Amino acid sequence: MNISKEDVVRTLGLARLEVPESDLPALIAEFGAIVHYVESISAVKLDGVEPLSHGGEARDVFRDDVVVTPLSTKDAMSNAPDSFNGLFRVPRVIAES
Amino acid sequence: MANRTLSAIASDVNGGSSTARAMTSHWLDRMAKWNASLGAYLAVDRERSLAEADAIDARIRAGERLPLAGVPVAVKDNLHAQGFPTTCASRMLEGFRPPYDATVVTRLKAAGAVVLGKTNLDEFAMGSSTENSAFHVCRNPWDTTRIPGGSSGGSATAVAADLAPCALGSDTGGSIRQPAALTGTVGLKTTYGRVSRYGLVAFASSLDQVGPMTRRVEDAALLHDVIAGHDPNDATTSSRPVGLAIPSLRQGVKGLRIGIPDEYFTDAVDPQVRARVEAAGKALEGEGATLHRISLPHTAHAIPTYYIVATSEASSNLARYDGVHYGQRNPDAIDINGVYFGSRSKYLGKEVKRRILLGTWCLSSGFYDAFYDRALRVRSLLKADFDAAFTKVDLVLCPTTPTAAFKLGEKVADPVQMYLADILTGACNLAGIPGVSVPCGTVSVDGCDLPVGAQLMGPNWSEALLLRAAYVIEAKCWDPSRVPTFAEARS
Repeated sequence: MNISKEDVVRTLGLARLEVPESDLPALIAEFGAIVHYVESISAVKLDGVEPLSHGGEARDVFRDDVVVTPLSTKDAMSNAPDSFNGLFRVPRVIAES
Repeated sequence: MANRTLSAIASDVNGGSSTARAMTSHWLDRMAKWNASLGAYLAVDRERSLAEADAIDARIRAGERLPLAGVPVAVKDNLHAQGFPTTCASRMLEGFRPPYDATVVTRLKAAGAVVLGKTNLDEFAMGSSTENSAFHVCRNPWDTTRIPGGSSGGSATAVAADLAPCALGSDTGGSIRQPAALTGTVGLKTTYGRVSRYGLVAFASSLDQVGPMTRRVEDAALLHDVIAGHDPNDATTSSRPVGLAIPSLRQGVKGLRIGIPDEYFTDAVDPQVRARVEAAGKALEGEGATLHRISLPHTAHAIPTYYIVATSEASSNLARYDGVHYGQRNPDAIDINGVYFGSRSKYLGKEVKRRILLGTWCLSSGFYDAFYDRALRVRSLLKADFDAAFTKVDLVLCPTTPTAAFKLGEKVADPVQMYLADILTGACNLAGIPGVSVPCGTVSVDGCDLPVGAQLMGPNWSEALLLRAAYVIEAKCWDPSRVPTFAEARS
């Protein structure tokens, strides 16, 4: 599979990443090599094989509904880059009309 | 101190002939002397560690007897230990202070251990050489021009150089076993669900496991017995009873059937490495085990499958670094997209971005079926290979790595070559089974003795059996009190 500049730029956008225009050619080449490597599994015969999402025990997990003391708001927000009155603060999301 | 087992340290502290403070001071002093040249630790807090040690000493004075009394432990910096930062070796988490302990850290502390510091890793555990640390490289004490492996390279170097008597690592595709092999230490990846991931910063949630990295097999068994078991805070942990490793450790391997998989002894494996691992097999045979050639036919597809699965999960897990809840925020952002794009682009490293990109691609519309879904189905085949093998043999023996430690900088420019460093370890994580790397000798590379790891893999929940066999290999092929002469080599 050939990886185009558009493929890389679109995927970067989906991942909320950007790279300087000058770094793109190297990234496209590296990414192309990686995709080429991993798509080698297209040769594996998989008729009737089910996907396996993890190797652990597949089961539902329940617990008793016991009241416990959770992390305090103060502790939970102690690493926030910006907060106000116990809320995360971000720049304006909806533009003024 | 490298000749002391963890249980001997605990025995001295429990018996009053030493203290947790004395033990902690000893390794803090060694760390102060040597860490700058090895780069094993990212964060050290002498006062805090000594305060933790004093608290253990107070418990001993009050009459408690603890299995890890006064045992200092180095903790990989993607596990939370309160009072220490957790950075994952990423600029993104610089300054992050965890508000709680990882369950494994809680359990170690309850057993009497003291957190000695936080160890270096590849950023977010993504790498095989610890060169992807955003802060500094980590060097292999056997030859400081070489990598210690990764991603738990800091923990491996700390133990190998005796800057800690033991450590915790995490293993997503080999990140405990590969650095253990390259530094002459023991590394155990447990069955998926055996050890809690609560407080481990997530990389690939269906693959990640926390495990011990130690100087000797007995120490790994002791740490396993302390950290393993169900945790209500991690729904993927199993509630089945833990098969303790210490009680059966010395029962030997008589009658055990050991599988030797053809696909792990190919020309891709260095002949000297292969010879050492074959000698480990002979050692097991000499103690009454039988060796059987087996096939794990889908092995060649393990690493491509691993990179699709791991990066897909990582692209989802690392979406949380959005510059809003914790971690760094782009200070120049004037709108919400500036927060998202700016923070992630500025503070995540190159390899992390590359993997997020691959994972996002594999999950994106139009490619999901050809990449992610296909990889999950190959994963089924890889697991079926092991399931079939374990109807014929009890354990599998193979090399942990295809070569001994490579040079710093040797593979940095070629991501695919770097990915192949995990070629013998990734299938174990995909299948969810346990694996251990135990040193089985050294090879001479450019006039330098470098350690080789033998890898044992077993069916789910076979940790005690794996460690029993590893104990025999260690006894026959290795001197665990040997500390590499990095000091002399440096001067």
